[in-house]
Parts: sequence; structure tokens; C-alpha cells
Amino acid sequence: MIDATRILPVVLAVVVLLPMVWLPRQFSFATGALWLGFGWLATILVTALLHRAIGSTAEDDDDS
Amino acid sequence: MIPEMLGIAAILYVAAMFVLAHAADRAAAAGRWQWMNRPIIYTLSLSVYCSAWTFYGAVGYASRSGLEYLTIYLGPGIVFAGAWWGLRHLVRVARMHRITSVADLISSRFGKSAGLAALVTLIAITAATPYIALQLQSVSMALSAFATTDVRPPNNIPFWTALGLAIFTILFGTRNLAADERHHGVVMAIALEAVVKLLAFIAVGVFVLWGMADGPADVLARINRMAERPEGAGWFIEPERWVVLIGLSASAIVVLPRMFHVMVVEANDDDRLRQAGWAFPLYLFIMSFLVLPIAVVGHDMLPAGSNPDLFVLALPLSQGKDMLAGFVFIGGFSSAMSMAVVSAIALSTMMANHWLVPFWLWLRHGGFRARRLPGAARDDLKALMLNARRLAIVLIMSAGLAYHQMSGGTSALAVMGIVAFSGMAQVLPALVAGLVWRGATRRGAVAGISAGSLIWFGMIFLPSLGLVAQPAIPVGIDPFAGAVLLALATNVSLLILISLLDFPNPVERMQALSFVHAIAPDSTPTERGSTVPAESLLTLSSRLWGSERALEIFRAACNEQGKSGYLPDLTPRFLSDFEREMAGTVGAATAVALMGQVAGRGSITVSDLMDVAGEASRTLADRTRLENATEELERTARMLQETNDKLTALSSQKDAFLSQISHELRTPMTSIRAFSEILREPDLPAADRLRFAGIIHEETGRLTRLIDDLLDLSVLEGGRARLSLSVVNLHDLIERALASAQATAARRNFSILRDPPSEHLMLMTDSDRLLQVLINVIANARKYCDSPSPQIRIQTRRKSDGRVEIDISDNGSGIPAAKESLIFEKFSRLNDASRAGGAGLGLAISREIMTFLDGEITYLPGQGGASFRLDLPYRPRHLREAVNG
Repeated sequence: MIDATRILPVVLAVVVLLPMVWLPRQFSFATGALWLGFGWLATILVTALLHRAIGSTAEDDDDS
Repeated sequence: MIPEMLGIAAILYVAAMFVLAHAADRAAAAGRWQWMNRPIIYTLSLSVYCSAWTFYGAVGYASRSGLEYLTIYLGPGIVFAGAWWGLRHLVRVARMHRITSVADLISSRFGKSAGLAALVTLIAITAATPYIALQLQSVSMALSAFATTDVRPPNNIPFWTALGLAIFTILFGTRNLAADERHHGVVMAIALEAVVKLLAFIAVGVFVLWGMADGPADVLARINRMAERPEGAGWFIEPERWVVLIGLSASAIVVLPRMFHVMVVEANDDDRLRQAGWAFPLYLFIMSFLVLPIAVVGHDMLPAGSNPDLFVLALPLSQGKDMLAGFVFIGGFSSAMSMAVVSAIALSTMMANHWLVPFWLWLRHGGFRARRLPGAARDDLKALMLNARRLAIVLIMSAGLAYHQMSGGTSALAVMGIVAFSGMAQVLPALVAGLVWRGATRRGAVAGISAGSLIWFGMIFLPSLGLVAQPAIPVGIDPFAGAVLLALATNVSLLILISLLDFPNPVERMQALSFVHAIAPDSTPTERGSTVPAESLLTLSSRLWGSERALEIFRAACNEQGKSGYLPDLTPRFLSDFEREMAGTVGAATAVALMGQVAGRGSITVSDLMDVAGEASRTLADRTRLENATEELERTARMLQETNDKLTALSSQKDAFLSQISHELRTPMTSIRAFSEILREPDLPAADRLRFAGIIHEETGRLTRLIDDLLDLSVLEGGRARLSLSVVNLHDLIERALASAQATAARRNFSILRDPPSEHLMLMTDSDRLLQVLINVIANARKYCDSPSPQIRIQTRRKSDGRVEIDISDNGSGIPAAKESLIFEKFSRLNDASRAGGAGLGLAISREIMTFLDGEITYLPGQGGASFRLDLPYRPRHLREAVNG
């Protein structure tokens, strides 16, 4: 799970950099806005779920 | 709505923040700060990232350059997606080393170098200046949006804004010299401001999205229509700018002084990053995606030539929604205020710790020696630190104002923000290398930061002021992106190259190990030779944090070592912990300088490093295990040693007492016997008879007192004394004690320093017993104080847990450290018996009485004379238990 938190920023970086650098003209307007919006929101959601899971694992560890 | 009304609303808003910050500070001081310590407050305080630039500038930026404005939020989004391993490591290491600022972190990692700290501070201040100017400009620009041809906004708005913010920052950022550099009041205020600016932005965003446009689909269609317009040419993404700006904003979230302050310094622990890791990006997401509708709708509906930086105000105003525009103005003002205040606090800490105080120490040129300073000057270091910060705040605000005036107040807000980001980014390579690469060295860091910053200064900062022309960059590359890449590439290359060629000094190697692996810093080998008395260190810390906090730290160290009292053994661990505690207030480099001057510590040689040479993880693990075991053994040994010393001393005291008490009993007995024999003479004159009878009476009185004392002590020690409880006013008891003690050394003229109003504390106790202790301690002070102009100071206070403390101090030479542990023992006297005139039972009885009253009497070292503290509950424990049970 900790490894997932390491991969997540790399994934987001690829999402926000690759299309913009590769196809800048296509992603400069509404398509780009939607792509970035959904990509970022999905990352936030996954981060929240991961952090929640890490929290409960940490608490279990503390208990044991 | 006229600008004056908005000005008044802004002033009222600042006043409300004053009240909130004040209340939060008071609550924190009273120990009620758990509710302020929630992760949500931490997350909201991070929103200080969204300054006036976000509020006004981002809309202008989006209107001119399309989606490029999102890079400023996507960078932090990427960093926070990895918060749990990247930022957590940073927060953990910074807390371990009690880091106070980004300059302190870098200086501490690279061998606690004062020069490096000063350099980073210089860059931070230079880079922050345009950013603060941006906040000042935003306020005057926003007010001008409300101006009509009849009503003009007042002149000099940036000046008055800067002045107001400087006052707020001085009042709440420099109230006290906290050992952990945390400001609960300010954090609460910026958390509330985060909510205000979010609500204001959502309000205007929702109004524009559904009130002026037809929802998100309409906005997307309008965005696509931009592609066909001539002004839409600026919307096409330039890949190199896109990458560079995301990189800059990702670095800014870590290295901007204000972000480092709220994220690292104000963090109570690293666990709160678990919530902030997703909640803060969500905050940024909402703020940044609301910018788009405001930008495109503003572009479509407002007259051509409107300032896009002001769309956020102009849109509601154009629809006659004055109240909404007023609320948005307050939201924008909030974002400017929180940014300027936190930046000023963070920068002033850096300036004071890394410029002003080292300069002051250099001026004193080694004259700084705690033991030489008179008691009256005890607090001057604390005052110096606070005044240095106040001066720094004024200087920082003035610099921001000067930049605003020099740039003519006409630059687009986004340009000023990007100048600041690219400047601070020069610190990032050293910071990241310091946290992940043990081979990075101080010289490498200095060379990289200096070269990168010089390029930034010449190619970005000066052109932003219009002082020099934009330098030529090969065709096809964006000039700004080119300059940033050149500066960072030079910075990183020099850092790597020089670090590879260089050999780090021993302190650097140890710090590198600690920073990269997040291992608690070890004590340095040469500290073992330190000979400085603990009392000097106590005096030094009293001058930094005040007597109370200093005594608390020293007592805790004593407890850890298994010792009683306030003066711990100067073990390497204690010295290292103490230096770190001090670094939490003055920064690592200054802490080393102060310790160096007080303790006279030398530098570490390469041979000393042999201990650290075994850096392999196996050795480390073994050492930690051994250390734990050794520590435990050492603690037990110290306790045994202390008990043994005490027993030996007590045994010899007992022997001495036997001869002493025999002498004490025999002397009056001999004279009683001799005089009673004379009285038997039949023809003794009446006058002589009377005189001799008087002597016999006095001598029996002395004997009775001695026996009374012994009986009293045995009753108290046997737990057979009876408590006669009543509610007493401490003031009355002190009055009575002073009057009774006046008979002791009656010819000496003592000045009594008191604060009678603060003495009116009510407590339930045995008043006669407490009076006995007070008389005893005051009489002792009168007896033993050897100052030519003797003083007795009495201070009383009620602590947050309800207990009452009474400190009674004199200005004499105090009690030698070697004898402090024995003064409460029976029959101990420091001076000769004739001078003391008692059997040495007073303090022993006092201690038994205080224990009996559920309190404690302790000797406070390092107070400039003998000082005793009586600590009492507001009612004795057995009574409380009886009531509760």
C-alpha cells in the first residue's frame, strides 16, 4: 500500500504532462480541461482511499 | 458600494481576526488547544498557498493564457499525491531537528552552516518581495474596481495595507518566543480565512456558472469557441512552459517560506498529512476549476479592455450584485492578508535567526557568556530575538511596498507570482539532495544555490522590475522557461559535481545520515569533553524562554537521568538534546554558535568520526540496541550513585549531628547548671540574681525549642500530624510571615519586591503549617543573603491545573551546586552554627510540612541567588479524594 502512494504522484505527473507535451493543440481547450479535471479528481479520490486504508492499518499495528 | 465602505468592512474583518487570534492564543496558553490541533485546521492553514494571486491573478492568467494557469495548482497536486512518503519524511526530519524554517533545514543538513542559512534567507527575501507586492497591489486594484467617476478610492492604499498587516503580524507573530515556533492564534485566523475565501470564490463561481452562463456544458462550449478567436492564440499550450511551470509550482509548495512554515513548522506530527494529502488538493481543485467559468464568461460578457485580473469582481458588479462583489472583495482581502502575514512571520524568523542574531553575536565577539551576566539582564536575549523579528517584519513589508512602487504597480499579478516561484525554486535541489543523497555537501549546495540564484536574479528578477532587458534566448524557446531551465541546470550540475569532488566535514556527515534515514541525530563525540557548569546552560535557556520553561526542560532532563533537582549531568545526549531544543527557537546554526560560546565546544575531527564510520544498517541496529541497554544501566547506576552519595553524606551528617546535638544540649545545660549553683549563694545581690535567672530562662527556652523541633519533625515524619484545614488568603499569610521574620537579622535593611494584587489567591490548607514554612524560608533568606543591598523577591501565581506556586528568592550568592541536594536534610547547615543560630532543622521541617500539605518545596538553581519554590494544591489530595469519592 505504501508503494501505491509512491506510484500515485508519478501517475498524476504522467496524466498532466504527457498529453499536453505530446498533443498540445488538442488539449489546450475543453478536452484538456475535462482530461485534467477528471484525472486530478480521480487521483484525489484514490489518495483519500489509500490514506484511509493506511490509517486503519497503522491503528491495527499500534494495537498489536 | 463605495470603496470607503469596503475599506471599513476590511478593517472590521481584520479586527475580527484580531479577536479570534487573541482568543486562540489565550486558549493555547491555558492548555486548551486540542480542538485547534485537528487535522482539518492544519489542512485549512495550508490554503495560504491560495493568495491574492489565485483569487484575482489566476482569472487574469486563464483569460490570457488558457489552461496554463492550472500548472500553478497541478504541481502541488502531484506533490500531495505522494504526501505520505515524500512530505512525511520531510516533516518527520524537520520535527526531529526542530527546524524553524527552510533556511534552517538546509543549513542544519549541511553541517549547521550559518553562511548557508544566511544565503537561503537572502534568496527567500528577494523572492518573496514581489509576492508581497502582489498582495498589496491586489487590495488597491480590487478597491479600484468599485470606483466610479464620482468616487475614487483613497490614495496610498498599499501603504496602509502594508502598515496594517505589519501591525497584525507583529502582534500575533512575535508575542512570545516559543520553543517550537508555533503560532496557534495566527493558524486559527488563517484557517478561518481559508473558509471565507473558499466560500467567496464558490459564491462567485456558482453565480457565474449558473446565473450568467448555462452551466458547465455552456462554459465548455465557450472555451472551445476561444480557439477560433484571435485572442485564443495565447491559449495554446507551450509544452516547455507547461513542464517548467508544473515543476516550479511543485517546488513552491515545499520551499516557499510560508508554505514550509504552515506545512512543516506548524505541524504537530506527520500523521495529519494523511488527511491533508487528499483534502488540500481537493481545496485547490475547487478553487482552480472555478477560475475557468469566471475567465471565459468575463471574456465574453464584459466590455473589451476590462482588466481580466478583476473579472472576479467586475462580473457580479456588472449584474448589479453589489453584496456578492463585496463578499468576494473580503474573500480576496482574506487571501492577501493570510499570505502576507504568514510570509512575514516565516521570513522574519529566518531574518532574525540567520542574519540579525548572528550579527549581534559577532558584534559581541565572544563576549557572550551567560555566567558573566547580572541577574537583571536575564531576559535580554529573549527581547533581542523578539525585537529582531519585529524589525524584520517591518523591513519585509517595506521591501514589498518598495517593489510595488518600483514596478509601477502595473504588472500583471501572475508575472509577479512566477518571479517568486522561480527564485525559491533555486533552493529545491539542495533541499531534495539533502534529504535523499548522503553525498551532497555544503560546498556543493552553496555553489549550486549561488549560481542558480545569480542567473535567476539577472535573467528573471531584474527584468521583472524593468531594470534590464529580457536576455536573448535561442529562438523557439520561451524566454522565461529558458531562463528557469538554465538556472536550475547550472544549480543541479554544480551541486552534483562539487559534492562528488568534495569531502564533507564530520558534522555534515552525521547530519546527512540523520536527514536521509530519518534517524534521531546522535550526540557528537567532542561533546564528551565539555566542562561547562549546567547552571550556565540553565541561565542561557532562562534568557531565551523565561525561567519557567527553562526549569521545566532541565527538570525533565533530570528525571530522564534518574536524578532529582534541576541540574542534570552534562551527558552528550543531554547536550545534544539541549542544542536541538534551542535550535527550535533560534535555528541550528545560531544554536551551535550560542553553545560554542557558552560551552566552549570545539570542532569535530576526522578521527572522532570513527564511531560514525560504521554507518551500515547492521551496525546502526546493533548500536541502537546496545545504547538502549546501556542507557538503562547508566540510569540505574546514576540513581544508585546518587543514593549512595546521599547516604554517605547523611551518615557523616548523622555523626556530626551526634556531636553537634550533644554540644547543643550540653552548652545550655552547662550554663543552667553553673548559674543555678551561683543562685544558691545566699548573699547574691538581687539584680544579679534576676539576671542569672533570666539567663537560665533563656537557655531553657533554647533547649525547649530544640526539643520541640525534633518532636515536630518526628511527628511529621511518622505521619502522625493532624491537618487543621481552613480557607486562607495567601496575601495575608505572606504579610504575617514577613512581619514575623523581621526579627531575624533585624538590623539589615531588606527591600521586599512583591506584587500584592497577584497574591490574593485563596486555597484550602493548614494555615499555621504553611505560615511556619513561609517564616522559615523568609528568615533563612534574611539570615544568609550576603548582598550589600539585600533584596527578597516574592512571586505567586496560580497554574492552569489550579496549583499555586510561591517563589521566594534573594539576591545573595545562593547555594553552591554541590550542597543543593543536602539542604533539605536534617541538621544540614551551610555556614557555621553560630551564624545560623539554629540546629539545621528548619528546611527539613519545611519539606515535611509541604509533603504533609500535599505540596512540595524545591530549590531553584540559576536564579541569581537562593530561590525556593513552594508548590501547593488548591486543596490537599486526600480531601479532594474524599469529596470526589
